[in-house]
Amino acid sequence: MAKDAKSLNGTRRIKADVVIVGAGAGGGAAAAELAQRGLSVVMLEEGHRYRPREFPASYGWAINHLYAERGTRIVEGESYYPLPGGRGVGGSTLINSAICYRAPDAILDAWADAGLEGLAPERLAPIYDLVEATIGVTEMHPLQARANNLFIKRGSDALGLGGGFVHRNAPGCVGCGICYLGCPSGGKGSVDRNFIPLAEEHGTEVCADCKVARILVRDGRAVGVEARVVDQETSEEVGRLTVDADAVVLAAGTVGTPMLLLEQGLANRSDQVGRNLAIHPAVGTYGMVDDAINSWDGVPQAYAIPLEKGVLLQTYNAPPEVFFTTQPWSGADGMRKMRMLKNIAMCGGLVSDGSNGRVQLGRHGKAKVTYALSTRDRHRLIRALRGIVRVLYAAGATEVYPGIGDGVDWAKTESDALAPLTPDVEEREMNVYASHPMGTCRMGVDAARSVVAPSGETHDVPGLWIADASLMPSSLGVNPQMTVMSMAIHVARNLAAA
Amino acid sequence: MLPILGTRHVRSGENEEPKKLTRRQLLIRAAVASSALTFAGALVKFASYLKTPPGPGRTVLTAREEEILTAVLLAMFPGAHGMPRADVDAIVPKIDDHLAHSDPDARLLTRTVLHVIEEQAIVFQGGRFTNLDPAKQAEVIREWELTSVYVKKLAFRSLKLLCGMMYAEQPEARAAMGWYLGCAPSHLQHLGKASVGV
Repeated sequence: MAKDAKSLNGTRRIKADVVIVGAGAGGGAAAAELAQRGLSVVMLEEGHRYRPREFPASYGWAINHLYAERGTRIVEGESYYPLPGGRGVGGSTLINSAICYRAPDAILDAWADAGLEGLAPERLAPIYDLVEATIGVTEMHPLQARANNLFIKRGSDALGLGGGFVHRNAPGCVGCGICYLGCPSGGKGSVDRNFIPLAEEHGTEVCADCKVARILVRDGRAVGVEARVVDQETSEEVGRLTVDADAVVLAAGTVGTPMLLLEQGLANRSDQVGRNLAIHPAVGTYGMVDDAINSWDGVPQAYAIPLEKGVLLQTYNAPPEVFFTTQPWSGADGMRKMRMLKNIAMCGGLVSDGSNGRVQLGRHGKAKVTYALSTRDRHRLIRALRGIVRVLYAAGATEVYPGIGDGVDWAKTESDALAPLTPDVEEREMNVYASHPMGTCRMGVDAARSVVAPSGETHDVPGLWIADASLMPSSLGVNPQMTVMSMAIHVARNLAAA
Repeated sequence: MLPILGTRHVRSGENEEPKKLTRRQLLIRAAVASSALTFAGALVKFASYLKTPPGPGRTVLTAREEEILTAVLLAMFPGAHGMPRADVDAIVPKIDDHLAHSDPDARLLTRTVLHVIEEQAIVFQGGRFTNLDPAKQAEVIREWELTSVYVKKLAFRSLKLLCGMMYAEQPEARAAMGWYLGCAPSHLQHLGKASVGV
């Protein structure tokens, strides 16, 4: 039933009970829930639909085809950092590392205390169970982890930090290490492999290559959407698709959803649309190891260390071009260093932020994303770097890049690596990465301070619902995909009952 | 008028002899004026660069930009220590294609960085980047990499990522780094040889 630019050329108009904008974690889970409850559903996705064998395992290809704004989306503030997002049927689950966490009870309790009783831990637990069963969550097998993850585990064990292998939704994983380029083995449980086929089995129509241009509103009520059908290779518009529906569900993500609302000035009486952006600011650094680590071999992110409240260390691997970009490796000497890539171990750290960002309309139809890192979060990032340095040395690294500085000379001892990592390190000195954007259309009881009611329907526009990470009232502190899916199912159930 | 050029308002009725310029003041004024002229000239020239149509077979890059990009790629990846030199015949068209699908801001940034690399070398190295010998080109790239000017560093990094992305896809570069792509046939061979359990 899947359609795309090849089959949707020309002008068309179709009717459904519900139209969902965006086929990522939230859209996929909501579609499956609604379709199983007997509603007719149409999903529109801006990106293309790919089969696993179509992923060529190429960073250049992935940037151009699977990343929002071709990987150029950034957060602006005191400094600039990349803000990656997924694009295509599967959304960000196409490019994530399949890490699965339930939201910490303390976070859900705080949301419930603020009037969102439907998201209380005991209410969300059975939905998490359903999500885990659907996307195939299991504990990571150490054999898939391989050298980089096992090296970091060694450091964590030596320091008694209590790290552990993560849970992942990758039931068919063979540990080939390139989750962020699209899983070519099909082993990852991205939503295009589970929730969306489930929705299709129950009649959902998935239309890829369809960029929603406008939400249709009649007499103050959302009644459908208009989309441009765009050929992904030529970027040319090849058709127009209008979907008339009794309800519109926005699941275009933390950046895409507020952009749609801001472009039309919808659901924004509170002036909260686009505000309250939370991200997980992240940093990463590297250590040189005598034996070959081949960090690209095995699951990229298999091991995590809860360093302190609000700071989570996680292994990762960076492809050569990313690594090359963060280090002054050019010319003949750079070539020598690139040959050492196989001996470099990598670990990152993310913090649960309290900082506030904002999504606004920018130039050329792009979002302008701004963010101010708080002093508390900057200090957490520095402590994350210090933690990684200690882990790398405890595991046996011979030299470490402390994550700041020009990278010309790496530190030969732990004390040399830790010395520059003082609380006065500035944001611009670190290579910060913005992961997991959340919260630009937050859910809340008070219509003056939130965009979406506890049901998931917007306060201002009847028939307009939201089911993605933009709903989150605060930062999670852990990878959010399971919580996005669970909240989307919660919203879908309310919609079906409405 | 720029205050540094020394214009002062003379009140009506004030009868003041103009002061003679000292040699030092004259030199400062000459330097500022020539900088302003150079800047204005650079702006005009830069605007003309951006209006130049793409080179043969290209969608975005002009022939001049292609020449600068080629020199930058070879300075970044000259081929040494067992690593291959950048295959510019393959990489330049890929970067042009990438830019063709990027948004106008990203295109403008990349093209601007190329022109600034080229022209700034006149001031600091005595010649355009493309006319410098390889050792001096390497110095220029090093200076861009290690600059403490944040915006300059970021702008260069965006170009460097683009170049690195394409270079890392050269099969010989991957092989020299020992980097293999998961789930590709080469990876499956590797798993077989290494007897890594999965």
